[in-house]
Amino acid sequence: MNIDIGENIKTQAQTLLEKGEVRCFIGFEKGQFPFHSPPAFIDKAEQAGQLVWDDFCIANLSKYLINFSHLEGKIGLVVKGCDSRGIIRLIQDNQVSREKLVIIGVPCRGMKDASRAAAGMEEITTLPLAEKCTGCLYPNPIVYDVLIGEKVDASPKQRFKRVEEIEKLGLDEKYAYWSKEFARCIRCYACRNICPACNCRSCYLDQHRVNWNGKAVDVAENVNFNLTRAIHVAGRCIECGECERACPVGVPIMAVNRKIIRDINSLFGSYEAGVDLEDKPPLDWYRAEDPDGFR
Amino acid sequence: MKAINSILIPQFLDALARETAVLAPVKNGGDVYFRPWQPGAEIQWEQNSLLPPKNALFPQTEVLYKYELQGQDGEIHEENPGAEPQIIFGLRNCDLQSINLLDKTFLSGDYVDPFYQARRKNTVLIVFNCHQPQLTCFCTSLGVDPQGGEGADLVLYELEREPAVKSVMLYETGRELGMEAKTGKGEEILKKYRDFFSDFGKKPRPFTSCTLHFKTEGLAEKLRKMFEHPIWADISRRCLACGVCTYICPTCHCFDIQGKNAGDQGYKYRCWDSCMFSDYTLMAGGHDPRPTKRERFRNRFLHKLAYFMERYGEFLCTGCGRCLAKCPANIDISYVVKKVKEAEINAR
Repeated sequence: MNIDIGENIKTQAQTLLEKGEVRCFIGFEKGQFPFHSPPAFIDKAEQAGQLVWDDFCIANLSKYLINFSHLEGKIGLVVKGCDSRGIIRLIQDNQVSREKLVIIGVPCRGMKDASRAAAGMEEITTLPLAEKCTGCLYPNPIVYDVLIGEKVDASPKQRFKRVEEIEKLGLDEKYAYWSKEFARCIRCYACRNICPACNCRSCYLDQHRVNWNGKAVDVAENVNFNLTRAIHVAGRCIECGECERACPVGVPIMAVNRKIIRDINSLFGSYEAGVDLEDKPPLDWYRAEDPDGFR
Repeated sequence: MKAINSILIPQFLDALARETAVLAPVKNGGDVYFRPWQPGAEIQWEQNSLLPPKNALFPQTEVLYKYELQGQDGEIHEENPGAEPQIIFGLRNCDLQSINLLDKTFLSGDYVDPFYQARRKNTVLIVFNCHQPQLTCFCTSLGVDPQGGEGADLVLYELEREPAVKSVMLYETGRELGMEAKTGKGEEILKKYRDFFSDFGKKPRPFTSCTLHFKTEGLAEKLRKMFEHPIWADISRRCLACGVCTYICPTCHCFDIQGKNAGDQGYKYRCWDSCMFSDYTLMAGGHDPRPTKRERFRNRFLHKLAYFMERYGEFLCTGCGRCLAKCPANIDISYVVKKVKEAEINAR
């Protein structure tokens, strides 16, 4: 099944490059380890054979489109359900235009947790589903030009489980919990750089002369950073979970994002980011009936 | 040769920690971190720590001095750099080598860093030799002996024909572990805590061998000619330009100096900086000699594999493998080395 999909992706990429329809094709290739399938950038048709599709094609390739937005010509790329939501995010945020993309969609059964294999804790054959895939609502690409493989059913497990667990804590316990989690943050900004919703041309974190956020790494500045970023992507987070996967020290970033998603849904009505191109994020505009109470 | 039963290690650390701060690799969530030793904690023997012990010698954030303004005058209060003695227990030879490299950076040459120096002088290093590498280990490719112990005060090692030490079974069965002093400080510890040790004649258990390896002959010289080579644009495309690799690296040592001011008082501090960040080389006036990730990515690898070699005669990489285990885009220094070797250089 995976081999068929992989072969099909190769053929698609090869054809697009041969015909000159795309200037570059972004997919996955095999890395140093069997549990690594890093992003691949294919410029020539004869390199298309490098492309693969397996259980480790976990990266959200949509973010890389930002690097091509100023260039002429089209880009082809492979997307899973979550990645396609990233594309909608970027289109809605005016970062890329749909016309410049050739999207090869692949329904996704969930990717495997390579971190356990890298640490030598688990054999590659018994790896569990990656954490980011356990709450997936949209395994099938939402926007695509070509769909490869059969659609799969979403079986999201406990999307808000961690949120509910944390909500049960008392105020002091919550403070202690988050202080401990954020204290580990090393401020590498992998969460920001990998996030399709973090697409500001100049991030407030890099504006050190203004010093919105001190560069010191301590609980106060780390909380400031983590919560500010969460609020910046509020209503725009597409739940791909890449931030939490990229975090080297395991900060439960998606628990914050999902808390905000749930709050937005209860305040402004049900909304799913990156699902409908015409449906703008609730915090992007104002309706007279928006709640204006202070909670 | 001395030996200590692994069952006694926690008590040994308790005894050490009563007099000196001890950092040891313990489990924190699913990962291993160097944390201040506390009675009841469990040493993790199988895995290397997620973050290197670099923070103990070169903290991510460190106040340099405080100041107070009084009208036209001001007063500066020098911060007494961390002179508290500390023992780092259970670090691996890759991380030990990284401390040797940091010593070159901070302690050799015209300027000696007083903050690093004060911490370094008061630090005792107890190394745990490796007998089996992790999948991502490649220290031997960088000339690091995983059982070398060069620069350590004390070396702890497993013994031949004995099973490996496992965290779970440690307290049930126990293993004899060899212990050897490398310096006067190490001798002192062996003498002072001699009740924990017995005399033992067994040899160390040999190191199996890294599954990941590459040759480095001529690498620095070739890189010297590759500053403008197209491979940098090519292999950096995957890079997200975040700072994971630099902040989990045991040898990266760049820092920035920042200040915090409140009314008529404040302080200056230094904190780690990453050459992968967009503001790293941004100059007053807006010019940036490394404007895109191609230049930043190139700089990181040239620093590791060429510049440091030219200045100090060693690679600024110890093969600990943290970057290739943690890079969210699976960027891998062994892959970069492979690409560099394959690259053709136009003879000019």
